[in-house]
Amino acid sequence: MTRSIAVHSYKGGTGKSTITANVAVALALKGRRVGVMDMDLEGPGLHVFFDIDPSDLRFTLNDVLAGVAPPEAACVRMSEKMNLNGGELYYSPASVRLSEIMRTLKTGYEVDMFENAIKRLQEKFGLHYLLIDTHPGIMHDTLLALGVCDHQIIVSRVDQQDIFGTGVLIEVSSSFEKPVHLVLNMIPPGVKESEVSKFARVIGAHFTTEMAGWLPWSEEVIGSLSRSVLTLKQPKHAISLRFRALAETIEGFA
Amino acid sequence: MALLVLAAMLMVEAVPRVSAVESFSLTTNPGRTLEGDPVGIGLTLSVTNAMYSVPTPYSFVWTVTDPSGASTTYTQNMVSTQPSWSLMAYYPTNFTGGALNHAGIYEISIAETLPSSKPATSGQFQIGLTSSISYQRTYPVSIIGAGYAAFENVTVNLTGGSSITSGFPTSKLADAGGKFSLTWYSPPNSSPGNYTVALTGSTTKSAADSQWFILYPTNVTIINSWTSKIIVQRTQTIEFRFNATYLSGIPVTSGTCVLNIIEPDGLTSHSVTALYDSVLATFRANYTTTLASTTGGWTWNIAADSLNDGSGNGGPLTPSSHNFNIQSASFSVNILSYGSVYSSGMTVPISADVVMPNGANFTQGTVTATITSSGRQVTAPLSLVYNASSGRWSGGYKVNPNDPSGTWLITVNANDAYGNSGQSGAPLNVNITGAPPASPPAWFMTWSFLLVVLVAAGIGVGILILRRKEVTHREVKLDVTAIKHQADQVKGDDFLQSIQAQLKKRAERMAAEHDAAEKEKP
Ligand SMILES: Nc1ncnc2c1ncn2[C@@H]1O[C@H](COP(=O)(O)OP(=O)(O)OP(=O)(O)O)[C@@H](O)[C@H]1O
Ligand SMILES: [Mg+2]
Repeated sequence: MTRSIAVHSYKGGTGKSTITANVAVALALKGRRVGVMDMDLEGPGLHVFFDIDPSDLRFTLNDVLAGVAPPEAACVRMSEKMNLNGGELYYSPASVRLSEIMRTLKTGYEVDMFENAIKRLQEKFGLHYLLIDTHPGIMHDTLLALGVCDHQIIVSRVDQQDIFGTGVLIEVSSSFEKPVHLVLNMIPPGVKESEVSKFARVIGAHFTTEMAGWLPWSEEVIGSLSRSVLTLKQPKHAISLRFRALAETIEGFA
Repeated sequence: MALLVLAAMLMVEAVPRVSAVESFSLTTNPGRTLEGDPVGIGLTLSVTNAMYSVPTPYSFVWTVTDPSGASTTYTQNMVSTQPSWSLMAYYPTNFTGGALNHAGIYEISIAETLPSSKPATSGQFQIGLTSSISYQRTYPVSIIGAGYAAFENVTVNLTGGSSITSGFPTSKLADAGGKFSLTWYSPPNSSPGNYTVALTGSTTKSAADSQWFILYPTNVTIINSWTSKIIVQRTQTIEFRFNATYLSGIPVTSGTCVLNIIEPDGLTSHSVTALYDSVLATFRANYTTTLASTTGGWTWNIAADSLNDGSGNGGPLTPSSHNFNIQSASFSVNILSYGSVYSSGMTVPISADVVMPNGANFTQGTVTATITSSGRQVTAPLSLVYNASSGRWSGGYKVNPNDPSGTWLITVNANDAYGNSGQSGAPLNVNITGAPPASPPAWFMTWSFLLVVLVAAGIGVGILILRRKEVTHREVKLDVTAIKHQADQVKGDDFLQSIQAQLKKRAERMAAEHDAAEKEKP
């Protein structure tokens, strides 16, 4: 059974793409077959992590959503390029051409197209997991897409600016009756694990969400300039272990 | 009468001539070819005014003298029965011992030996080492020589004016048929003008076989133009890129091109210079828009002959034009205010970062803040002032005793004289001491508050405290009520209702499909 997991946040720059890329690789390194979709159609970013220029491809996710290309045609198999020891990673990039981005934003897309793409990729590649990176914020098309996924991960910084919107987002998206998981990212140095888990418990007490994990602020992540997937490049590094732990948690999702 | 005159004329014509004064002319086709050309040169002798009234034998000796001074001949006989006719000969096919083995002028002379002995006419053709005697730079120059021994080592030298051409002299073996060939790709920056190419064999031809040709600058054609953004906001920079090729198709990798950038009125123009970027392998120029740039459809143009590669090659022959659009700037406004407990007379500080689309601070214009609480205005718009050292717009609101406690919504608006603008809102939890709580009672919870309540309840939940060297303590406050209130508003909104309706329909459809699938099973 495949699980589709949307990675979302209220604010931009919370680390959605970083987490999506790293967790996907961590799962693939465990021998899983993983799909990754860049549904951040307004500001795609995953191609940087995977070092793919979407302009080189004949089709992108934008074409799939517009119904002009089958989902598997807009999908790049990363397994060999990344050397994933038996695991598989299929990446569906979004277009980075401004004209196409504008067109997709103008016309929007049918949620059926999106759902169809999920199903088709799951069947075609026998995926265990399909991770979906999204555009931040409470927006119609994104929320609709979230509602179609089996799980939602909401990423937030522990920052007064983020936390209010994150709360609102959790409340809104839990109305879709799909499990909502919270990941806190960029926890500043010096904050104790026990404090974070207390914080998680408080959130759990007031909102219908579970804490899926938290990640410290990492010099390594910021220093990588989003140009590599640390879980692959530095598998032994502390932050990679955190990403792997998060992948384990995701494997335990009911 | 008319008949009579005609008869007289015919009689004059019929009188036989004793000695004719023929006219001769010689044409050669082609007038120039390459050494070793297997087809050779066709020579045509045209004779007019020949004797013919009684069939008259004619004989000609054709002599061709090659540039080395060696001659070969060919004799041709015929009987004239008409006043004009022509004869053809092929060089070297008809000339025993003839060959196209020397570059230079081949002289042809034709002598009549019957019916009388006299020189008839002369002419010449040219044999060269290159396919043409003029080239544009970068176009391949193919050098061909013939008449060498099989596999003879041939040295080729190429000089432009008096200077040496890089890569020359060089040598290469002739083929089994004694033919030599080599192609020279003239670089785009090779000096224009006359070039001399000379071939010297190691044994057969001791004198250099040589020829000159002219090298001209070449034309440049523009291909692949690209605009970084079709739509830019004022203050952003737009980038233009294009590639150019020489006539031969080789890419242009040096030089400059002046681009004209035309405003929506079609007249006002700006210019930027595109330079070749060797890393990106493209010509590239930037244009930075300002807060005052005219909005609407702009074009950037490559005018005819605007590109110069720095070596005298230029182009394009035809101009091209590309569109982009400038829109007014939308500022990003980030409000930096924090809730607290205020008493009447205290000032609630309000500050905001206002950033232009290019990422720089917005510094000139009007920035105002409005405060509302439960939809009611707390104060008329307040002006914020830009502070250059902090890079922020700031101001403050002095609290009145009857201001409501609870969630205030601060809205900051930024505008300028050109119609650029930005807006943002942020909630602010304000507790006015001594003031009655706004209705409905918007009691808010901070982490500290939770701590007290929950610890009292024996659950033992703490607050997230960000410690920095144990000196400062900071808390992240979670205003559960405000969050739920805001979420309820979103959930009540039409757009979320429509999402939920669509999701519900989908769930029903899936359930139906599932049932149908179940029924199919035996
Ligand atoms: N744990 C971390 N520690 C330090 N930096 C981080 C961490 N996680 C992410 N970042 C950095 O934060 C920036 C934003 O991350 P990322 O692009 O993944 O966020 P995003 O949510 O996908 O953003 P957007 O909403 O713009 O798509 C990047 O520079 C990334 O390197
Ligand atoms: Mg992203």
